[in-house]
Amino acid sequence: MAAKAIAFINFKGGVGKTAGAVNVAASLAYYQNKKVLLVDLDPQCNSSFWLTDPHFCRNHTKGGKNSVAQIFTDHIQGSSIFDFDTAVLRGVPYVDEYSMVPRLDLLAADINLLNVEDKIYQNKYAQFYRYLYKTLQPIYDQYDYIIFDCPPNVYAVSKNALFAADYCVVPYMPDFLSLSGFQILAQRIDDFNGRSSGYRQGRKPCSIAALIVNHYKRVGNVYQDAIEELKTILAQLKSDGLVHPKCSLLEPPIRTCAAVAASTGAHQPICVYDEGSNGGTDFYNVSLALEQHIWSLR
Amino acid sequence: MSLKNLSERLAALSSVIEENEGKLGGKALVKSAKLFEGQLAKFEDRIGDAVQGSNPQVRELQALLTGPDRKLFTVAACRAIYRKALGKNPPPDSFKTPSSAVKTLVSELKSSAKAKLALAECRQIISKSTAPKGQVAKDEERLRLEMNRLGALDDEQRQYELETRYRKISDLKALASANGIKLPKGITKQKVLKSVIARAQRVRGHYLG
Repeated sequence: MAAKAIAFINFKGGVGKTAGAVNVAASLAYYQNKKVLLVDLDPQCNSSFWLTDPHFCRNHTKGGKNSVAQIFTDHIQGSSIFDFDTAVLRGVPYVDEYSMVPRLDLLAADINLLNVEDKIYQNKYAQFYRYLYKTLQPIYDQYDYIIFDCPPNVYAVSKNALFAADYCVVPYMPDFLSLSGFQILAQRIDDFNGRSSGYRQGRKPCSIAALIVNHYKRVGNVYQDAIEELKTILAQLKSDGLVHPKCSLLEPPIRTCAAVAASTGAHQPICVYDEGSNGGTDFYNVSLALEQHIWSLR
Repeated sequence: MSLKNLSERLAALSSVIEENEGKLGGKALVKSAKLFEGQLAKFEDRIGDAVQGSNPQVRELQALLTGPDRKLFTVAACRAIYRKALGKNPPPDSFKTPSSAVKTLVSELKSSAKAKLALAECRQIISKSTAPKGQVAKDEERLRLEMNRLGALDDEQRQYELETRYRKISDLKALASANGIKLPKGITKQKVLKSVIARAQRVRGHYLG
């Protein structure tokens, strides 16, 4: 069966897209024995540097040739340099060349993704949002899940993720500012789905299927109130058809956890770095909830 | 102080503010400016009325009666407004068509302090026609949608609906708890109302564009 492709997307920065994508992908591979590919689409390379040492990663990507950026460059320039088997990092992270999570693969990002945003519109007749899917489609059968870590915007690269994905997961922080504009994000995704649906060849549009709460603290009512507000907004968006009819808030909320921050420096996902920490427990439970939720949508 | 003196003082104040706008700020000044702004708005209305010969309620009433909701103001509705505001039956000759009824209503209220009453009656007619009919929903999903809807209403319409559709505190409590508002035991209806209004406004505040 082809992989379920999930885009972690939100146009707001700092809401936990990368933390969610990396740790959910790792948990699915580590605890649930799923074959997972994590595709880093953010030019800041945060997912790539979370799971590999930056020097190692830069050496591997060779100026972008073995990174996801090359997929776009090939389509824009008409070249065919990208080779998935050479580019993919299998079983990340590594300790002394030993794989820590053998079923987790990484397609690393590169700073050249920044140039992609500028150049991708050069041919205004090209369906630029199909580039990523066209290249990765042959490997969908090799995985159970493909997870896209999107940059904090809904520009060309993110649109490629939306086209390549079956569902979106929106990570967010439970505060007033993070909630503002959630309906705009849903509208943007819905608009894009409307425009690109003719090219999806029978695949259903990539709607927002789940939300993950990050940076949660059990202090006072502030965080819980924000979650309730989100649920109220979600009810309206479902009623307006802007999100998946079964879209839900995945439980539990991910608590703020120093071990998760520390795991970035160790270049390991939390399930390997400190699986007993609050973050380890929460991401384990969320990945379980996501797996069940995705199955319920099939 | 005469109006002429007042006008001179306002002109002088205006030029001081204009010259020093970049330097003016601070909590106390902003507080004072806001108070003054409120008073100034009222004063502007009074001056406007005096110049035009009508009061703000009458102008607002006219706007309502001839605005997008004008179809609601049938002859019968205009009669009811007239009776409510002036405490007597309207002259039958001028209440034959809706347009003549509206015209008479506005002209008679121009010279009456009862315009405020008429305005309240008009608003109630509009609120009544736009409020959903039937019982308040019971399930969580619908009650969350209801919170979104209440948040999108203007203050008066929201107030009307909460007063008329949510007479029972149990309905209000159901709306609050379905939306995750924690209510202590023995809470008064007024406090539940306050929490519901605050939540509805906050939820609506998240919608951009």
